[in-house]
Amino acid sequence: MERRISQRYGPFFEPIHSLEREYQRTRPNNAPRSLVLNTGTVVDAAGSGYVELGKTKVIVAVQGPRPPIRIRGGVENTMNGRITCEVVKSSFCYYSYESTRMANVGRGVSEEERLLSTRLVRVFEPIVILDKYPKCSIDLYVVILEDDGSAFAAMTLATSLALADASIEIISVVSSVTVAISTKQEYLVDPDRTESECAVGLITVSLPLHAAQLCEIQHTGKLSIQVWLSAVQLAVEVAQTIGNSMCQFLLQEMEKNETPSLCS
Amino acid sequence: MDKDDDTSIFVSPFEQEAVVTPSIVKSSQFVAPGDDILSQESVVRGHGTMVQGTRLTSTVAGIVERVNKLVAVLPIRARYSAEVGDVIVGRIRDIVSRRWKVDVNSRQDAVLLLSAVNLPGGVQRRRTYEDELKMREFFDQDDLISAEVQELKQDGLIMLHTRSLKYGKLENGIFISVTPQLVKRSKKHFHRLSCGVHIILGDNGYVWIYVDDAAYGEDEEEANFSKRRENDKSNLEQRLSLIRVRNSICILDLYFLSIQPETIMLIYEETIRRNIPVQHMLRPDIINDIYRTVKNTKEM
Amino acid sequence: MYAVSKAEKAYLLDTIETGTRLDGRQLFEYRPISLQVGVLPSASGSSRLRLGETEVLVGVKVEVGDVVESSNDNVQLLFTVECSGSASADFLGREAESWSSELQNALESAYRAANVFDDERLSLVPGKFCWLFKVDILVLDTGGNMMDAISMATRTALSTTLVPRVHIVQSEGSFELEIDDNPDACDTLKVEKAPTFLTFSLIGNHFVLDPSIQEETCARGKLSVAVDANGDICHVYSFGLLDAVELSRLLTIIKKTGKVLLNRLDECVKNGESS
Repeated sequence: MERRISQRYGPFFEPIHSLEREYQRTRPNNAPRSLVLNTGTVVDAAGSGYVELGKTKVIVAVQGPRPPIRIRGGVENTMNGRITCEVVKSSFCYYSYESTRMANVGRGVSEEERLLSTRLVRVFEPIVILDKYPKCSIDLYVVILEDDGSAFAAMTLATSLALADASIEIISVVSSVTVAISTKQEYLVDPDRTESECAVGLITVSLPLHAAQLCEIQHTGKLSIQVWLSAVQLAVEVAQTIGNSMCQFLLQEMEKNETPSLCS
Repeated sequence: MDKDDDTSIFVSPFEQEAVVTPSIVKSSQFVAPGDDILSQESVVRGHGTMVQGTRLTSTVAGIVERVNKLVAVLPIRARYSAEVGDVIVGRIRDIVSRRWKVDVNSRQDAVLLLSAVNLPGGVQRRRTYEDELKMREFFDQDDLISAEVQELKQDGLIMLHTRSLKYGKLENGIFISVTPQLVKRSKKHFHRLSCGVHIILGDNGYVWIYVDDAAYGEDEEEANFSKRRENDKSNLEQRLSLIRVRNSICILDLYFLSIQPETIMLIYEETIRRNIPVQHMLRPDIINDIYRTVKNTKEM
Repeated sequence: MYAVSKAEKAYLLDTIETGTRLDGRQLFEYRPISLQVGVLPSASGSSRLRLGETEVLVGVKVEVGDVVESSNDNVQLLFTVECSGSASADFLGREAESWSSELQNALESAYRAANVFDDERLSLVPGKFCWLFKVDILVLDTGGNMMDAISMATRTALSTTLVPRVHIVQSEGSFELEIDDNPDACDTLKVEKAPTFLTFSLIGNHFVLDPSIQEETCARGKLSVAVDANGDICHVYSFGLLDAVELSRLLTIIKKTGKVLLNRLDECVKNGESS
């Protein structure tokens, strides 16, 4: 009898009571973890970005704009560019034998990776000015080196850096942050893995920095509307501070690298 | 807002759904593929028939049509088969060298040559290389056009032309696709309904419903490549009539009734008479009622 | 891909500005829904739902399975979404995989969050055996807004699913499960907690509920929210740049409409069963 085991790749929603009791959050509830940013880490790529959110490490390389490798369905989307994405979770991400076995490491693209890549494309499709790149494809290659919670937020930040590094035209830098709602009804900003697993609800928000708009909201868990709205509002505020740091970082990088001939 | 809630969601069991019964039967004969067609001797075979030995059989499921000595079988539901002189509504699918490929709901895409359209200004001249580069400015991909079938090639390729003022790009309206068999070939394809709404009934089953200012009509002397008009925000009344016509045509299509200005207005007026708001026109229970009321009228 | 010309899109945008849509609906109105349950005799529960031109068929199969990864769930839910090739050429090949993955993930996440089956009576042998509900969803026709149609059909299929009674015999530390063969010894599932999705498309500056396929093609954004009967949010899917202020206004509409929708669906199923 054929039996498929459903993949559990997200947080487990039964509160792990023992773990929670032992665990203490060392920073204030509304503070994100230490942020490390870097660009230009991948030499071959048109642009690349590296982000560390606490212990979560993500690296993104951008290739393009270049002619599309695979033409979708045989019909070229002529007048607008396309974004493709491949996400790989390195084997360092899996913390238990069970989850490694289930995640199909080394055996092609797992479902979780495929979902992450679709989501990332969805975030950046309205952000990249695609009609400036007709008949071209912008390819994103993401590697999650270590996942200690908020991996998707780190991915989004790294992709923004990579796109800026590759000088691809974007409406704005995209900032992203995760907020967890704990069993004690607290809002924990930028949760690590333990906090994510014990959470009642998890919301990741991505937004372009200079607009009062959201480009993506990811939600898991059951929340009432008020809690949801407050969490989103909190996330938006924190994301804007993170975004500002990112912009400052990009400006610093440019100042460091500028050649005298470019500016007179 | 509360009142809206009551009527904004309508759930019904499937049995209430529209029951489709073909109603184009007058005194014709239904045949299935392989059935014998009773015929006298020395008949001319038309579409949908085949001689098997000494018998004349049908190759499609449809209705036998006899015109003098011509015997043919018209299929109940099939892709549109073009005839020279048909007026159609088509959608530009692709632009290749000196021609547009047009989707006309047929087995193949039709072709509209650059030489078969009217240039702006009504000028008659040879098409230059510049015209070729500017093809996208005349008709772009996914644009809707009205055109006439000029010629049918041996391999079934349909050649279109828009060499008349009434043909060209369609704007300011709604597009809807119906079964081609429901649109009878007639002399007029551009109609103005008594409610003030204009329609183009393409023989290929593509219908365009639009509102027109008095400045534009069939007999207007302007070139059909108008400069890009501003999309006027027509008043709400006009828009609602347009939507009501669109829904009436949907009902006709659902019940396999012939689509002509008379039948459209019949359904339209019936819904006005019963005070049915536009958004409820497509509910299964309501269209059942309407159908039952109008099906015995002589226009049907 | 559904094709829409620039002229049609312009007319659609203008019409939506006036508060109506091309088929006459208001901005927050659903198309007529037709529903039928018990259409697949070989499945434990099934339903067929039509939303405008979208048609969906759902079958539920009930099995006993081994518990996975020390979870405490009584029930494992496995969603499979497929689109029949006749519905649209878009859904053949690789594109289909990512599309169906997304929908499956959304359903799984929403049902898990809503904790639909935490009924004690559904527990078999905690830690060893649990129920496995395989929900197979087949999209027969695409007419826009597949997410809502699928979630509604899933909920109605589950609400009419019959779960056989099981006798657990424990002998020397090992368990044996005897499933009652008697067709009348079945229980129906309680699905009051099951959520349903409400999908909005952002066209111009307006959100419209239950977009048709034309409206989806012209949209620059999308928001799908899964709500349960209490109005709690179980899952959110979004695409495109959405205004943060609009969101809170939408959520009140979602809560109200969700409740009405779930009521109507349950009523229809109940009337169907009693007749």
